[in-house]
Amino acid sequence: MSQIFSKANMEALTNPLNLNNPVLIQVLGICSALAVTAQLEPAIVMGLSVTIITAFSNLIISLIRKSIPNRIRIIVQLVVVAALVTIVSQVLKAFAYDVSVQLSVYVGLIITNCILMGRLEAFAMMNKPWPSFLDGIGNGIGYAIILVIVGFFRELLGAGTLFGMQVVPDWCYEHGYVNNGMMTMPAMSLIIVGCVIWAHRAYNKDLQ
Amino acid sequence: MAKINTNSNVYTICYAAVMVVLVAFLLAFVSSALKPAQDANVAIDKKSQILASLNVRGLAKSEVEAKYNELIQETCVMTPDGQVLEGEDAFGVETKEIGEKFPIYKAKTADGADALVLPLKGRGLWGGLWGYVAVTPDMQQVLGAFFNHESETAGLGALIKDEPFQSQFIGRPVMGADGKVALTVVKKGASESETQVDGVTGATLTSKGVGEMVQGGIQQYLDVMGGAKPAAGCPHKAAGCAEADGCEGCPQEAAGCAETDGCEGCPQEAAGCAETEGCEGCPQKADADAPHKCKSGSDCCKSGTCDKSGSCGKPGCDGDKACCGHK
Repeated sequence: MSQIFSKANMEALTNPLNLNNPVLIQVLGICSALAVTAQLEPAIVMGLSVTIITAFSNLIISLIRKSIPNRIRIIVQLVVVAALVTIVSQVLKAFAYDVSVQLSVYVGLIITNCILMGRLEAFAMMNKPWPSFLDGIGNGIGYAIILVIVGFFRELLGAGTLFGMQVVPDWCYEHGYVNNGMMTMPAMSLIIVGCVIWAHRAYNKDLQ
Repeated sequence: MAKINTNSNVYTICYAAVMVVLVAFLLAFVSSALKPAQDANVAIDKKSQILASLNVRGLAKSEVEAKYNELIQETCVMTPDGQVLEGEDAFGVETKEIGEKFPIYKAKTADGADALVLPLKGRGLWGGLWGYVAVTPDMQQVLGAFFNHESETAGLGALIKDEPFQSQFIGRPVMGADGKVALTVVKKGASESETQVDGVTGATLTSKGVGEMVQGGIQQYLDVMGGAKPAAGCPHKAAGCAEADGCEGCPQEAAGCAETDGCEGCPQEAAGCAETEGCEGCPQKADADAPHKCKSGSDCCKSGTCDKSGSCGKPGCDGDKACCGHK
């Protein structure tokens, strides 16, 4: 037991949440942070999917890491990720159709997510399966947190809603409050990510 | 165990080949093993989409089948030149075939009104769009709409599949002043008339795609159905016609009706037509049986002309309630 939850393993899980956050520090996965954060719900769905897929592809790659020929390792990683995503989406389509319809838009985004390839290449290729699995979960959640923050602000300020429910009261609109249409534009997500990075660096002095 | 050189060419090629074959088999196996379950889900999903256009939403999976059978009365498939394909079920027509085939569903909406459901297909920003629009049998007014998409941007273009966008269509007139389909989608806030529906903010191209799909699609159906002039044989048209405003004489009267809003003569004539079940035969029968058809020019108040189908000449009926009502 002590080995499973050793300090090193716990760090693999918790570091990506804060000090080694894939979006804030490594600046990976920005493209999907742009695409799916206009609302909170797709942001959460995307975050969860990436967490699950990163964890399991990390696990698989780590299991076969010693047999992978060095020169085609990226292709092997890509095949594993693509096969995994395809199988998961097929299974969902058969047994949880609603979820699969929700996810169908994200499948392409998940496969091409740089966090996935980054973690496979940087961690799973040289670590044992269990730490790799934890690292995948940690990075996925670290990514999801940022997506949720960005999604929260974009939906709140851009549409006055959260999870599609109106939260800005009617009297605000009656007194001249207007939704910020800019917030629904993809470019604003970069500015919000920038603000989050700013706050994060200001808080963690040693990162500066 | 002998140590294998994982950097050799032979190893690399063999590894790649084995991996590809394994993955291919795995994917093929998963795909074929799950196909039946997926197809069942797809069929249920299609039915619930059609029901959504009839304003029946949020049904549990198990209820969809029963509700579908209750609301959808009959279907027919038409070719672009207005012929009816015998023995074909509209439900079997896939979205990609729309344009070569025109499936039409005769149905009732959630609150019991008669409707024709027209499947549509179009293009959005990233991929295909499709939808079902329920219109009144005379194709003058929208009763409900459902749209969906392959891969529009989540949170923006993808909003077209949600109820708030779709419910804007309910009650909209289809036709513009020029007698062509005018119903479309415009930029939010730029709507100038009832036929212009507000688009989704931040999803201009997707909104435009929906607008083109709706306007172009309904126009195609109108063209196929001969500008609401019924062709022989299609059970749909006969029935659709019956619900609307009569048969051969219908178009004019329908137009007259739409303008005068609540013209008395129309419903009765419709009923007369309904009994004959068949558009070709309807005018004659209406002539003989339906008391509300004109028999000679003297029955028509202003124009003084009565055409073969038993309707007054158009000039007299235009905007003239008394004439239209055959009092």
